[in-house]
Formats: sequence, C-alpha cells, structure tokens
Amino acid sequence: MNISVNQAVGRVPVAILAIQGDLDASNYQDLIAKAKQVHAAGTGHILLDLTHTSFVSSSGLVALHSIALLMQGEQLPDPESGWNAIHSVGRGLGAGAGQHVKLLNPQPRIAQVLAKAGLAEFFEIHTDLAAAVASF
Amino acid sequence: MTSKILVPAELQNLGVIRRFVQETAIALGCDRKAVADMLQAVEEVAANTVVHGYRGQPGDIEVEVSLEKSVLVIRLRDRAILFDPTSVPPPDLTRPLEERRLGGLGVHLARHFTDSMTYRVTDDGRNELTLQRKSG
Repeated sequence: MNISVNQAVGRVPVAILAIQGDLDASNYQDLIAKAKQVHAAGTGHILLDLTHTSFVSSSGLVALHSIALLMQGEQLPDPESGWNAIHSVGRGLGAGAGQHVKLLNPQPRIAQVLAKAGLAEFFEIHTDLAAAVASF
Repeated sequence: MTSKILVPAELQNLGVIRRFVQETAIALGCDRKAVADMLQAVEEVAANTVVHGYRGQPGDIEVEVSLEKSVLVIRLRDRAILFDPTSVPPPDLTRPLEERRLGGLGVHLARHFTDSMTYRVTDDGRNELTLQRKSG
C-alpha cells in the first residue's frame, strides 16, 4: 500500500490522503500514522481517496474509524499497546465526527464492506474530487 | 483439483495468502464475485489466526483451495491455540454509532461473505476452518 498526501483548499483546508493498493491487517497502522501526522500539522479535515484502493479488510475499517476519532479530538491508543487496544476502541464516533473525514470513490466492494460493518451511514461518500473538497 | 500453500503466520503474508487464493480460484474457473467474497473472508480469519491464535509466536497457516460441485471451498489449518471462530457472537449493528464497538467485526464479515463456515479439530490436533461459497 502507498499513501500520498495532497492539500486542497475549499471553504477550509483539506488533506487528501490517496491510498493505493490493499489496506489490510499488515498496514492499517501506517494509514493511522499518516493521519496522525496530518492532524499534528494542523489539518482538521481529511478526504480519504479510495479510487485506487483495491481491498479493505476489517483492520482497514478500524483505521477509518480511528482516523474519524482522531479528527473529533480523541486520543488514540499507542500502536505499541497492540492489536487489541486499537481494535477495541471503546469510544464511539460522535455525531459530528463524520464531517471531518469523508471518502472519495470507494469501489463497490469496499462500499459493501463499509455497509456490512455499519459504517456506511457514518462516512459521507463522494465521487467527485472538487465537490468532495467543497463539501467540508 | 486441490491446491495448497503453507506460509509462516505473519501479517506480512496475508497478501501472499490472498494472491494464492485468487489465482487458484480463478484457475479453477470460479466466478469473480465468489472469489472476491472469499478473499474478504480468508483475510479476516487468517489475520485473526496470526494475532489471536499465535499471538506473536511463530507458526504456520496452511490454506487449501478446491472447487467441489460448483462450490469454492477453502480450508485453513493452523497449530495455534484451539479456538472456534464460529462461536463468536455477531456485533450489534443496531446500536447507535456512539455506542458501537468494532470487536468481532472480522468474523462478522467472514460470515457475511461466505455461505458457510465450519470448524473442527483435525485428527492431528490442528484448527481447521472450512469456508464455502457457491460459484456461478
């Protein structure tokens, strides 16, 4: 998996994280780490570009969930604390957190996985980059 | 025809397992939707075996792929601590988002993307999980 970061400005600055390849249990923490960097740099809005994401496992969903928590101001478990700490995040997503993290162009399979996990209702999904940036 | 692979139980090998399942199932003539569904399921159960079964200890995962009467059958065997993943209760997706946790999501997805998931202990004392998905 490769992650590239670009900045865009709509009504607010938006970091666009483009994920290329498979997002699975072996690399989901890399995505969380990248989002932490972006957040630490002062960006409050993230658009996850899934156009070239070919596969997302439940661990990938945990990464999306964690990033949403991060952007609503929650502290995430230290990655060194292990799988269980990260995968059993006790705090839920607040009603407004989804406004800080949105998704661009998930493939139908990934949209299906999101739906089956009950996360589709939370993440706003866009198919046009400019419209997605403008929506924040 | 049955094809088999034995890989060290490491998260980095999840991609190896998925590629093996994909290439073998397509070579067997399985339809692409069935293959995609099984890739999701295999990822989830194999990741659980690495993390919860072996818990960082060295070990192997054997993955066997076959097509039996138009049913794609995948058997995963390991020598990790004995555990029946079919006994994991489904997550409560009816709870509000702010009260929802992500535990057990992998098994939930594996169940959803397969027609059946059965567990047994083999004669030589290994976990064996059999995933079945109709093809065509």
